[in-house]
Amino acid sequence: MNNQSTPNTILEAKGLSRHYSVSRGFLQGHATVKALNDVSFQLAAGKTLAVVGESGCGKSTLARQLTLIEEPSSGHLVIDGVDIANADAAALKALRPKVQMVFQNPFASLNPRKQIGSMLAEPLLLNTRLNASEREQRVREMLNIVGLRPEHYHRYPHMFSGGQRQRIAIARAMMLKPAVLVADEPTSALDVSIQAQILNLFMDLQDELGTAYVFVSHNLAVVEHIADDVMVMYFGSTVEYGDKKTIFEQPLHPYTRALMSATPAIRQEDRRAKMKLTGELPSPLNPPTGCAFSTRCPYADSRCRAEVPPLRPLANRMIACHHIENIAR
Amino acid sequence: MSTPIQTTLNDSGGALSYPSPLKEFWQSFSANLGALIALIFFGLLVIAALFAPWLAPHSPIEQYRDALLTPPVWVNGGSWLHIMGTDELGRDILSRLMHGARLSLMIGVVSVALSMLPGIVLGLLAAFYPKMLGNGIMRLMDIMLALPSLLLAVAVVAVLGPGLLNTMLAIAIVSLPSYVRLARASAMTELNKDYVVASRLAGAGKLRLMFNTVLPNCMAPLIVQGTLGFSSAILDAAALGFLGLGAQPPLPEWGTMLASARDYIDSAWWVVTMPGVTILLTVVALNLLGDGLRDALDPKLKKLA
Repeated sequence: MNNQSTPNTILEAKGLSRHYSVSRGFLQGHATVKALNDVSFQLAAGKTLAVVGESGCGKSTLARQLTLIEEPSSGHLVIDGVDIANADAAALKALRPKVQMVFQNPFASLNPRKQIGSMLAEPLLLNTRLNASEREQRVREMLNIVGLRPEHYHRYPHMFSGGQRQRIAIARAMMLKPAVLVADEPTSALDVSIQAQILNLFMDLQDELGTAYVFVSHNLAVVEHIADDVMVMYFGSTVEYGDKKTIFEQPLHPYTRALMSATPAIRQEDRRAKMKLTGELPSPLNPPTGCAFSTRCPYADSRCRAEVPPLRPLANRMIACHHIENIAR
Repeated sequence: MSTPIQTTLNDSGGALSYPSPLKEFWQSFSANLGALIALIFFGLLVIAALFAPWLAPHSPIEQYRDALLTPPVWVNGGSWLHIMGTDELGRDILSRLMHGARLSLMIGVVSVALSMLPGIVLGLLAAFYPKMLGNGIMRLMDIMLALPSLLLAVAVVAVLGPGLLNTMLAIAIVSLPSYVRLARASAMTELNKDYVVASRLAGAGKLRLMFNTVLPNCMAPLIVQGTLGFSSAILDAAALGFLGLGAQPPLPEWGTMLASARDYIDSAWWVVTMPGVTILLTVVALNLLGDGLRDALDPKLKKLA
């Protein structure tokens, strides 16, 4: 990864933040929750960025910003060369089809009252000038690509299994051939045997269509399988960001190392030294001063509790930790 | 949810036909005996109403002066000429009830339509714009709910003047809040689901989201409420008619019939009893029908969700 904007960068986030104002109750005033704090990354066409972290670390908030469902509180989001902060309504409407999303739960992401055919045709109906028979043809092609059968065209979602539903959701997201596909834990609701099929479908589609993926997951095995770059998030901020190989071979940040050591491995030589984290994510209403991870980090000292560590380049990656040189040894 | 059996059948090839949603619905509906009987009764009522001019033995307003207060056929002194007897002006009660069914069904249909359509629109608006419109709409509905419904209907009719059309309007206004609340509640549940977000990502505008994406998934409780509202509309119309604020004589409206006959409750019980029992049976049948619809629609929704 480099810091210059390469010509085929399709998605770029610069200092992306999203803060929510939360009511604390009667006569208490509002509190601000920093769900996403100064997140930056670049994604090239045809590449996959995996966003990793535990529940509540801001992964899904990031996904909501990237898909333009919500506006970021601050920072820049550049999609295909257009900065959404400066874009007017028409430009935003033109950008919308370029970023699509696959959701975590395939049982909630398909409209129970719509046939698969009309569900998949909806993006075409709204964004293209194709007529009904051309739309049907495109839908049938897409059903074939994602491994569904032609007779599924007239069926309703409740007639499908979880894996099939996720195929339908992927087909719907791919109908407009988006430049970026955001997948929010797309395999976590599926059986392990189905997960591999869906991941392979993702990778086949990427080879075929050159779509860039932002793959939100907490499953490191899945990430290792599919990602090019990995971004580890903790409490709304990036703690480590770099090439997949670099990070998986030599995780440096204590949090990344804790995550990696939590992944079970069958073979003895694949196992990493166990590093157990105690406690839970701090309350977003009452964030710790200094490094957000200092409350759970075994290496934390007074500096960590006072100063927020900046994200800085080190050993082919970006990392946010004061003591990384001491720990790494 | 697809069961494993379906999947394996599916994989074994061949075009497997699933039961159509309509057939599935009918199967669970017809398992409910009460609802089935209610449906048959309601069907007969609709036939009687539709073909009243041909089925009714007499004109509803013709007065048989030589047969005032004739008792029904199964009572001493009754005759087959007037099966359910005649009223104080010698009009055939059966014929009047059959023609009255037309009015009652019309009142039901019109007032349910007049309250359901604006109710759905207001409810969806309240759910989609919770801050801008939602609070205002819902507080207004709360105010309407704070008044006893019949009292409010009487007030509305008093303002608009008595008559059939104003009765229907009054009933529609009175029953509006229940549709608004129901539509808003189910729309808000649906709005949190991912398929709505997916539809937005596909580029769907607010109108399309409301009526094409969300509304079809909210219809089941609204259909049930509509059926139950149908019966309460008939009941309210009868009450207004009884108070002299609804349909005006000589229209054979059930409530009006009841009101004009109450002086004869001691001497000629059938003049009061016949329209009363008709109202009772119709309302019971519609409530059973509504219950049956709810039972048939709800588990299906659970299965789909």
